[in-house]
Amino acid sequence: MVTTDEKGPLTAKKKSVIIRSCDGDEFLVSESAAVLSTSLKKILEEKEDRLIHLSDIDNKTLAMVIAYLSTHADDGLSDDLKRSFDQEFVSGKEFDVLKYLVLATDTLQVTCLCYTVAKKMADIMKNKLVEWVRREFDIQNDYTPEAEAEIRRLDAWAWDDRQLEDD
Amino acid sequence: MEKQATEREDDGDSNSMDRISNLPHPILHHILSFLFQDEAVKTSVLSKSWRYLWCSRPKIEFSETYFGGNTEAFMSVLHNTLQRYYDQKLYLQKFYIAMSLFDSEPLSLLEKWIPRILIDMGVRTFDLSSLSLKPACFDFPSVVFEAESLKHLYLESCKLNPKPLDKVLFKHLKTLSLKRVYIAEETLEKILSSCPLIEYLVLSQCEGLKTIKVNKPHNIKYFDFSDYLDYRADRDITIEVDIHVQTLETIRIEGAPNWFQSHHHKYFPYLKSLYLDNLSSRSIKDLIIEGFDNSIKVVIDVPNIVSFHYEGDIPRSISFTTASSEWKSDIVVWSNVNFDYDASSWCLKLNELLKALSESEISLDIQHCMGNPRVEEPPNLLVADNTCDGFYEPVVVGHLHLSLSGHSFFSLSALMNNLFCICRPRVIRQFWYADPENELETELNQVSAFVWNILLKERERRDYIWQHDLEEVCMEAFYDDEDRDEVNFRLKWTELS
Repeated sequence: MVTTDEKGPLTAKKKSVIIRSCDGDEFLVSESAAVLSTSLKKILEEKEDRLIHLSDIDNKTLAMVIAYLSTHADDGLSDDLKRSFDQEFVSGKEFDVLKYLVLATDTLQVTCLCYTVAKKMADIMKNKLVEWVRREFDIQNDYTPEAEAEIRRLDAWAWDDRQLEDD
Repeated sequence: MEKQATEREDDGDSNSMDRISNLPHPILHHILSFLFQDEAVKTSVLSKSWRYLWCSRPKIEFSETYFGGNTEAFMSVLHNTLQRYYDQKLYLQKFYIAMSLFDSEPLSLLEKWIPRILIDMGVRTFDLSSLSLKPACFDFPSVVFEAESLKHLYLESCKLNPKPLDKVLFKHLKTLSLKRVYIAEETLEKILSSCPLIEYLVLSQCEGLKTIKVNKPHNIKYFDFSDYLDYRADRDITIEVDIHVQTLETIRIEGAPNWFQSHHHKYFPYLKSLYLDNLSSRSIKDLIIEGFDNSIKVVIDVPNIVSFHYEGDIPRSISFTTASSEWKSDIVVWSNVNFDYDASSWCLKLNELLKALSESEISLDIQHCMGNPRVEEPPNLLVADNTCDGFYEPVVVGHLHLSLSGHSFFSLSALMNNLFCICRPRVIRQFWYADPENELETELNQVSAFVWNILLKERERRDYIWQHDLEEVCMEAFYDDEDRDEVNFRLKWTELS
């Protein structure tokens, strides 16, 4: 199955590449969008092959990354529009979705998107109690209470929790 | 307690449930680098795998305020943290510090570390902010000019005064932001001519400069200049700014500079935003963006403008040249004239400003403050005002907001009648916070009631020209999320010919 991204019909005349996700879905992407990923750019420079197989990125994540690349490759859009697209892009996404995105952008070396997603993930953790973060991300506390108290004591200056949220 | 401990022993596989800890360390470091220092430190107690993760994130960000006045604790934590990065040769990309720059001990600690941070550890971003607004006294070590890897430099309240300055090695500098910094003119010139990649240039309340001149080929996209004479020791000097760089996208000018006094034709093809804030009429006299002579005009040639912000007194004359078809102007005009007497002449000046901007979607905020509020009789609508006459043309205004304090309804009536001659607001938007105790807010509420009165009651009388053009008035009142009362008057006017 070949899924074209939004710009498909227009860019088909231009050079394009097919990118296959780990679950076998294929996406037709313009070369100008693909090269915004440093690692895709390297692959394209090294070999003539127009089919790139990504063994560790699933179809849903890949579709999102490609939507991002295509938007940013569109010369017709102003920087302001691209910036607001980026904000929209990460807003309201589940943490797990962001996690797959950050892994994919790290693999593909899409620096800007990696930055935006990592920042969004950090925003989720900001101003939260440790207990909230543990609950939210299912982190098992493997410290003994004494060990935890000792660590808190070491950097006592950082522990003023009056303003923090726990909901 | 015991039960918990047993559960923990059983959960050898529980890490597979963990939604975050399994991410590769470079990614976790990246995420941690967006947190403040205290937030990053706290992640150490999440679980054992988080114990030392934050210690090697590529950012250090300290504020003396974390330590609640305990200078010794601040110094020791700062020193130990830096020492750890230094000893373990950890990658440090960004260093932020906010501290009082007047205590000698923390300052000498900082001085000792600056060469290591900038040269040996090779940070890309160095940011020093001051916790006080006092002017510069800390001499920033001139080793900074040898920091080859530096890309973003933000300094506050210090002196950047190397003698002599031979070479500038931070050739890749993209950001230079100096606030309340003493910098000699030659030093700034040397930096600007050595660093062609600077995109972001902020000079805020700096001392030591008489002219700022940038007209060589440059890459500056953002230029922010503010100058308040009150803050400067050398307040008899008015700084002249002569910046003519075609790559500029945003210009922000605040305070009272002599701006663009040279006779050259200034042209900014990429300029998208122009902010002019707090300009007193004294400086506006000298404000020439594209000028052929030293006339008292604001002439602006910006073909691709998207937004224009202006706050200050009404300029004596302004003209705008642009090819842009869709742009916005956000205008905040100040006034302290007595509208009982001067409403019409003030409105005529305002009309000149609005005419110059009539191609744009105008949002107008009138901030009027009169010294002594006077208690007046209830609005006497029979009083004939010295309504505008002369060469005025009504200009369509998208949003109008009136911020009035110490006014009387008598003068408000004069203002409104004159204002509707020179502009045709589509929406008059008034808002206030619901707080009956607050007299000012109650007054704002009364302004809305009065506007309504003028629009409706006076309309029936049709004494004024504008009343013939007003076809429809619609009032919407609502609360918004911030517990704010808001009233919008939507006005429909006869089409302007």
